[in-house]
Amino acid sequence: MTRLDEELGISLRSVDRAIENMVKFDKDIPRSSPLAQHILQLIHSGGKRVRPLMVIVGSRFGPSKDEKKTMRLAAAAEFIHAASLIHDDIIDDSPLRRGEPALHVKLGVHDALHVGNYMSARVVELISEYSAERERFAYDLSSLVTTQLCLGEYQQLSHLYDYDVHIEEYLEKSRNKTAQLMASCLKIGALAGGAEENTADLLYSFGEKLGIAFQIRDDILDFTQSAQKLGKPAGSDLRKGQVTLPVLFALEVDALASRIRSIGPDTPSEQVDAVVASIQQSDALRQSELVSEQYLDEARELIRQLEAYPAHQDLNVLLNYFSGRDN
Amino acid sequence: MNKYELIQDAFQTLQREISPDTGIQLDMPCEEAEEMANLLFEYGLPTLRSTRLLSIYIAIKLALLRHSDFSNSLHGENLTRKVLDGDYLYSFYVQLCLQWNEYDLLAHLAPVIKQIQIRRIEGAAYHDVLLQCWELFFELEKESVRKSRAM
Repeated sequence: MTRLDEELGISLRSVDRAIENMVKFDKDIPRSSPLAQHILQLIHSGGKRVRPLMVIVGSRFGPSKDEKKTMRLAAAAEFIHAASLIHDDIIDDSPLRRGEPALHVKLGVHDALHVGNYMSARVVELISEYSAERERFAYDLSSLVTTQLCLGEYQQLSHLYDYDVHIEEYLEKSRNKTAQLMASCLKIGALAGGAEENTADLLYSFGEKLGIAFQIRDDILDFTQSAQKLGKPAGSDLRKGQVTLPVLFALEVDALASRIRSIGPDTPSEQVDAVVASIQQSDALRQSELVSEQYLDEARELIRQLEAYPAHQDLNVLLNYFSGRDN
Repeated sequence: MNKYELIQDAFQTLQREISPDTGIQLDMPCEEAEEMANLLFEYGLPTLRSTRLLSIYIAIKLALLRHSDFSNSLHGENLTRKVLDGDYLYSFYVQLCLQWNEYDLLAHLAPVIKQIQIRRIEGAAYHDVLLQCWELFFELEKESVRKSRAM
């Protein structure tokens, strides 16, 4: 199977080097310090670097070839994503990340939390440094700071075990939590490459649709993948009270609705197992898949509008990747 | 306007700006903002700017407070909210700086906020660092105004 970076013709080594340099060239932490070492280990533990790749793809829609600037933004996007994963793992009390003990398991919650904070703060510091281009730095920073991502998390938190949540609220949460950063990666890349504003906006919309389709697919996988592959029992989102799109469709089935609604924080695992099995056998997963497909179709339409750019082929590669065809 | 009115205005401004979706309540004692309010009076900044700068300061102080005291007994929604509130406020101070065109302040604060995270990991003291950073910023700004007037 071809890897995403290879299909896009991007050297993952260069991306990784740019990410490493964010730590290595920080004059406030010696390279041999435990903090630098923990972050470098985190970087070396892998990851597909989807967000940095999206920044680089975005830059291909403009005439400028300032690779240094693009790489710096690409690395910043990965730093923000990695920091959010550290904090997600604390919130979810996930023991593992990429097959290794999660950072809060290794360091404790306090230190892991501040490693994540350091990474976010380092991004703000680096981007604020190009203060000569104020409009650009303002846009790049407001795109990469995680207020929207946090809002998505708050929205999820305030709707735990809320079976009356509307599909629009689910989509809004997904937009904030997942899609906004992906969309921003394409747009800040495009602007760094000197692309026109309307092209950058089309790329943002494309990234947003891709991000929502990705989130829906992730929510479906929570029901369809084996417990072994997921590293947690199937339907774990529902067990934690997260009412995802498959659950919303399942709630429309009269025979299932009351059984789903009976699930709360103290429901015995066996009872949830039975409900999860019923959702798996219902039409809810296919209906969710259709919604995901609808977003991907809208993304395809946006690619058509960008056909004048040779880089539109890269958007097809991203789309195939997110739709699971090459993944 | 006296110091206490300024603090009250800054709290109200910040609460208005924070998204209600967060449910964040500004439960920080007013005394935590007093030294900064003194500093703002000392440098004689216009009222609107003083209120905004104090709001930014309170957002950062509150982020620091939310990301403190993670005892082992903390879990579930309480833990989630503490993590999220701190995350939101750390990014929100950046947004407020951008929204109020305080670009120079942001460029001055950013490395210090990062250094505070390093100090917290190392267990080093960090409490005075923030206020000293603001004081230096006001000094540099005053100096820059003086120079531009002299030219």
